[in-house]
Amino acid sequence: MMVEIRTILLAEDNPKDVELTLEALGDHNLANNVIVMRDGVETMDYLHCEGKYKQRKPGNPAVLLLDIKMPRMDGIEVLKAIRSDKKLHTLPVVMLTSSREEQDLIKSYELGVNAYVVKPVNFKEFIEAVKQLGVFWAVINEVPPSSKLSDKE
Amino acid sequence: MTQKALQESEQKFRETVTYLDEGYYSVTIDGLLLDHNQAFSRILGFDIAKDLKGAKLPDFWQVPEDRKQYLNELIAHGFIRNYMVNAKKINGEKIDVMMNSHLVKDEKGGLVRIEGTFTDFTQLKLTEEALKESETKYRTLFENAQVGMYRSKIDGSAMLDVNKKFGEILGLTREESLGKAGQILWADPEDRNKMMKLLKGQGGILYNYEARLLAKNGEVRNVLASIKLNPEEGSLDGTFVDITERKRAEKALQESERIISEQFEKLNEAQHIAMIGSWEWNLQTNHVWWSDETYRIFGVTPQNFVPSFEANGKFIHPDDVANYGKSFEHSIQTGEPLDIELRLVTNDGLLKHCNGKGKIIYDDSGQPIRFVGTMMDITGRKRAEGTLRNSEAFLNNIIDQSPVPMWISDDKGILIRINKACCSILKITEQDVIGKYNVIEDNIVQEQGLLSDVRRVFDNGETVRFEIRYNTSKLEGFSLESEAEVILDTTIFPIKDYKGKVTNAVIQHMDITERRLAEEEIRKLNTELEDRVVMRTAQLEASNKELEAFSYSVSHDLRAPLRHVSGYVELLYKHFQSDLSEKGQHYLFSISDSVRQMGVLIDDLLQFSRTGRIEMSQSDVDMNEIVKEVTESLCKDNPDRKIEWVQEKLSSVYGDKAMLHLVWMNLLGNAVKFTRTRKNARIEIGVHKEKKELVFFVRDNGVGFNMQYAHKLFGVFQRLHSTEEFEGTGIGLANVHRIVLRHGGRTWAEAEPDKGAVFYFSIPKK
Repeated sequence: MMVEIRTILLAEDNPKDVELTLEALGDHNLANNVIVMRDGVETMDYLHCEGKYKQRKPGNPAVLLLDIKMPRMDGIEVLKAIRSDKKLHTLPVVMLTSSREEQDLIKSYELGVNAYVVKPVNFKEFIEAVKQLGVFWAVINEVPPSSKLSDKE
Repeated sequence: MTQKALQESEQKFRETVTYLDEGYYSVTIDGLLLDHNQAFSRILGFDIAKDLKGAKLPDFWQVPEDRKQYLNELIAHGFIRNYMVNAKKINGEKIDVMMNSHLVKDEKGGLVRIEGTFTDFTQLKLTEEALKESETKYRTLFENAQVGMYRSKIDGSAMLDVNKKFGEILGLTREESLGKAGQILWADPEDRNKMMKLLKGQGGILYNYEARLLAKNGEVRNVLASIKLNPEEGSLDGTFVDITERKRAEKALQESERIISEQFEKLNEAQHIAMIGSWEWNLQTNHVWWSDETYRIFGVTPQNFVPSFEANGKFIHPDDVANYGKSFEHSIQTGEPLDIELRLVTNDGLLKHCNGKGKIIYDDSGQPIRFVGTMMDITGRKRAEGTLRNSEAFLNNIIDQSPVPMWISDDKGILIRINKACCSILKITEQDVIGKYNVIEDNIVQEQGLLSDVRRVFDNGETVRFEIRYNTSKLEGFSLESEAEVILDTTIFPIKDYKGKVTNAVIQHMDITERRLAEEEIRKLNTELEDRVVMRTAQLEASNKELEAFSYSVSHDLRAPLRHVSGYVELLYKHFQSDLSEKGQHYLFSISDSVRQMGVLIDDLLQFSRTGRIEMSQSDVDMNEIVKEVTESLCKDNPDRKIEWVQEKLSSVYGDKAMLHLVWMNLLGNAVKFTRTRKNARIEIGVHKEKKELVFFVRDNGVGFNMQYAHKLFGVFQRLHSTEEFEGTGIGLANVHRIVLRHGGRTWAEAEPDKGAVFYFSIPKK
């Protein structure tokens, strides 16, 4: 394959959502490059190469698909932390959430989210949306320089 | 003839000689008397009947030497004229005679006889001497007379004689006066002509003629002259006295008389104005004098009334007569001044109040001689006093009866009057405070920092107003029986005299205790209310938060499992389709459909929740524009529908555009939906402009509804049609209602089944 598939970081606490999301991404062979985080804290550990991710290869993922409602540290807090971190602030972040709340939208855009996608209830639509996301961010989109390092695999 | 003529001539001569008044004699040189007449005998004292011819001429020379001198002169000159001789009569009585003698000679020139006449000059001489003496006397008199005397030429060309006084009056010496032209002495030369005319007209004599003469120093002297025209002497004889000083004095007198009379007039006038008359009672003559004003006060005139102590009494009011007599008597006896108030019934029948004052004047021996005094008409003052007393009583009444608590202080702040209302609210009595309480020393005033306000009234004459909480039991220096606790809205204003000095202060209270307590109650209630509002708000906020959290949950947490159901159904279908029977596939389809429906419900519910929560962003909204957008969008969504749109021009409103968009979307969407069964759908859009609001409406010719259920129309999830008939969640009109409500408007509807429906909503005018 000439197409370079880069790592997608998926922060999602609900295993069913994870499964369905991976199912959607699997259709385009994108599922193998997905690393799933169970909450915000784990996400930040991963990004900072801390905790159980101390040993991981350095480098940022191509995109972070971020759910808002998560235990311990929610998506908004994660986004805020990323945008205020020198090493991480250019990381593309896409909110992938059930919330259509205006407040969440406004806050996310204010914090500099790259895209905001509401998970459609209809599974077909959901699959379609996730597929497009995966393809766009993991394949089409040119990542910022700092993200490329981790992709040499 | 000659002899006869001679004899006749001799006879004539003889007669002449005989009756001549002068003595005649003819005598020989030897002294023998040849002839004489009777006068000769009479003068020399002889018997006139005796003929002395031939007798020797008696020696009548007093001094014998005188005869020799006489003879010598006679012989030398042949005659002698007017020769005075001191002779003597025969009885030796001395006489003076004046002799005229001549020698009679013969043809040869020989001396024949001496003839002569003589007159008795003694009488003449005596007369002359008397005359001389008299002249001296008159001259002395003339000279020393204390009137100016003069004689001047009639034509005034020269003064012939003047006396000393003349010179004194005019400041001239005798030498300077004499020969001086008369007229130059007149102050005005014309005056002399006038005088002359008058003089002639009055027969040559003028008495007491006033003339103005010019003194040497140029001063004009007024003189009173008597002038006599003396034609024999060709002179004017005049006397005059200097009346310059008298004139001056007269003038001064006149002036002072004028001044006095003027003063008297003024006094009269002043008395009239002041209504004070004066009087004088001569205790010795019993005569009473009144000034004009006194007459006026009594209503009489000097013509119709003669005042006297007794006569005056009849004008005294009967009740005052006794006092009248007693008072005068007392004054006369004790010498104390008189001061009485009397009522008069005047001649013209008026009742007058008068004040009589008087004083006794004593002579050097201490005898009372006069009683002088004044009489003042004080009727006006009495009346004014009455009026004043009335108005004072009036004011006192007002103050006392006033429901406004007030009291009055003097210039020091000491309470001098207090009204009932004030006593009542403070639960004090007049005795407690009058003359004792001083606002400047009031500790309650001081404690509440109001002393400076109070001082401004007394020091600067300002009016001040303040509120004071007064508890009389806290007032120091007073032990009051009851206690009053009040809140007073107090106004203090100064009363000033004509110089602007503060003489009193009026303190008015308004008892605002009730009001303040009520206000406090209100404040307390308000505070409570505020607390409650805060609490309620907090509760609302909390419940809002909960609602938000709920919405969030609905949005997120409810959708997630739904999505999962949908997702797994899809996966089941995708991976195990071949394992499922047709029935099994139908179930899966039904599950999917329900999930989709629930998804729609959840979304609608969320939106409904949001319309209630989100903040309105209001501006002028053009309803035409919104309606156009909505209808266009509806037409696009329903391309196969044939709808007749009837729209009148709509008004702009002030509101939230997005929300109003939703309103129209729901109403027009419903209209489209419920006319679905109509071949010719007709949707009418319009507005009624009411007084305070704009009423928009959407009328359709759709299926309508039964008005029985109209009240359910705008409720959440309320539906009047089955889902199979017309899809929908029952949220749309609930949203419309909520949005219109938030704009301050109302919603309602009219319909009839199968005939169509009209939906109204109103938006208040701006």
